[in-house]
Amino acid sequence: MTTEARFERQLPAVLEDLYLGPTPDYRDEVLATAVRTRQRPAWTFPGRWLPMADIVTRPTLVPRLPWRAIGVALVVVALLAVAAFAIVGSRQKRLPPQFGPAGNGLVLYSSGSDIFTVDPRTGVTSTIVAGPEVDSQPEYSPDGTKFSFVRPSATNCCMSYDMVVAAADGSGARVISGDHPVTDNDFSQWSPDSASILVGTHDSLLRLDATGAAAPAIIAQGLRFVGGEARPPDGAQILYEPDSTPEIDLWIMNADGSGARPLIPASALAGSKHDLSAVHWSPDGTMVAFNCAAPTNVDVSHICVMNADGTGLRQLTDESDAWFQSDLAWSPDSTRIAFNRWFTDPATGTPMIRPIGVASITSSVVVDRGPTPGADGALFNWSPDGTILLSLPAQLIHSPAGAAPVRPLAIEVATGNSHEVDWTVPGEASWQRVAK
Amino acid sequence: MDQRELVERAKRGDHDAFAGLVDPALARLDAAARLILRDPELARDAVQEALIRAWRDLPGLRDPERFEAWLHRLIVNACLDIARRRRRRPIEVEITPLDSPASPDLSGALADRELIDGALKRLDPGHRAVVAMHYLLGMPLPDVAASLGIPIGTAKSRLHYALAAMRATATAEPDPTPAPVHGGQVA
Repeated sequence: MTTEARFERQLPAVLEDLYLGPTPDYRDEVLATAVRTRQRPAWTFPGRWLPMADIVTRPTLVPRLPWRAIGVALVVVALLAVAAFAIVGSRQKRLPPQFGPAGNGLVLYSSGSDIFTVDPRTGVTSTIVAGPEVDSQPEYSPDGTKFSFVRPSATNCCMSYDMVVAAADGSGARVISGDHPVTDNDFSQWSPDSASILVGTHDSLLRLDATGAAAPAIIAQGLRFVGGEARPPDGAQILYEPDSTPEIDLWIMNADGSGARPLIPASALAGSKHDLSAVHWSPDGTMVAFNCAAPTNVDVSHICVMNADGTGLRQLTDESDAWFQSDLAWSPDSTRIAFNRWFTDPATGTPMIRPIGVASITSSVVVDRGPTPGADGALFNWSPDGTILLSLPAQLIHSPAGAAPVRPLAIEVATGNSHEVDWTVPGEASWQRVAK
Repeated sequence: MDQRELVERAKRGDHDAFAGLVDPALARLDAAARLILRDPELARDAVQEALIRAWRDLPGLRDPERFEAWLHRLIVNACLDIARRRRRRPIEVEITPLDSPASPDLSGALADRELIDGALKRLDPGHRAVVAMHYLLGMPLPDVAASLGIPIGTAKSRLHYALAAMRATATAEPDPTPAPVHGGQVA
């Protein structure tokens, strides 16, 4: 066992030795204070209310109706509707390509309890989902026509959420998770065809129909998924790191849950330290990237890439003073990877953050992009057309609710030049892909 | 009486059942709070806040099996709320002397608990929270990330950073002038 591994193994015992004592002497007082608080009655949790207006009907007296006139009017309306559908149908909305670069649409984000869009060209902000519910984590579908978000489930309590899908303008919001509320420990990802959402819960992998018409389908059970993605462009395979295997492993299964198998031989990963929860398919589905560490120094984390069939595993970057590279994001054209990176200051031995790095897949050359972010790194998104990195301070996402929104930086990928945009977001944002 | 029954009874306002749920966890909640906040009085405040929230919102807890995970999350969030409110006030920890000696199988640098404690002191509350949740409360990293509202990559980088800092401190001579954590938040 290495020194590092022994240190980690012994740390819980050391921490218990340092901090864990007998039951605190304030036990009686804090318990008494807690139970003096009024307990929130179960009926106050939204979702337990019955929509009484819908279930109570009253007999009413109505005047005799002119049925002939109404019938004629209905026929006229129907004819007009048919004509309108014909015109609209002839101008069918163009969709972006299923993968690869696309046009830049709106930017979606949640703030407070509502969901907003901002047009990055004009800075015009619109509220698209409002109301008393606390809605968060909005994410556009790959085709940009709709988005998902989470909303506290019927009990409004305790890490349990409904997955909701709405049209891109916020209309038609419907719960698609049925009797399978998700927790915020779960990961979720749109399928490449925008027809469903893959959700990994604590013990199963679900597919949620984006229309909500079909019940959630359980793809696999009995495994704890700590990461997983459906392979673009057709989603026919699901890449995942099972939490049930003793060693770090990268597995793949068919979209229906059959054919689960290791993607690469365990020997290829043996002796090293890989963080496969950060695993990502390239947008064209030909490659896989994830965090890895050299066997000689587990304290140094790099980015590794390999072919989609598990061959050609290699370390992408080789910055000699690198200490930790993480939060990797593929460019829409699958030719580059952007990532946060820290290095060790040779003078002080202290970890220091560097500007976002963008590495070429073919040459492995890394270039700095934008200014040096804060110590926690940056949250960044590629623009759908691949020309801009939209960057936010990573500290935003663990700021207390109500933290002041900030102006993101728009970093031009080609030049590295950056400027603050003239609109603000309070946290992570999702950028809509549209047809060019 | 099993946990599920205790939760159901506590949901209906049974004080004893709530005490039965909390008692086995209380020492560990206090330990996590002291690790994160490094102040016994603030730790007590955090435990108090967490228990008030747990009691108040318990009727809405859908899955009784998740009570413990929920409680862990409440204590860490209470700690971080307190840390944020007191961000600019430096605080120090008072390590409670324990009667029991250090585990005899801990050898080398790990045996020196003061060095480890010193290393933790130099970390900001966000990093200490990750250490407390993962190593003291036994939470898997995905749960840690979700509870803190950070990506798992960030949780792992924080844990990585914290471990490296502890290892470096534990294997080096004590430095009389602690170096600040670069860019870290002041407790």
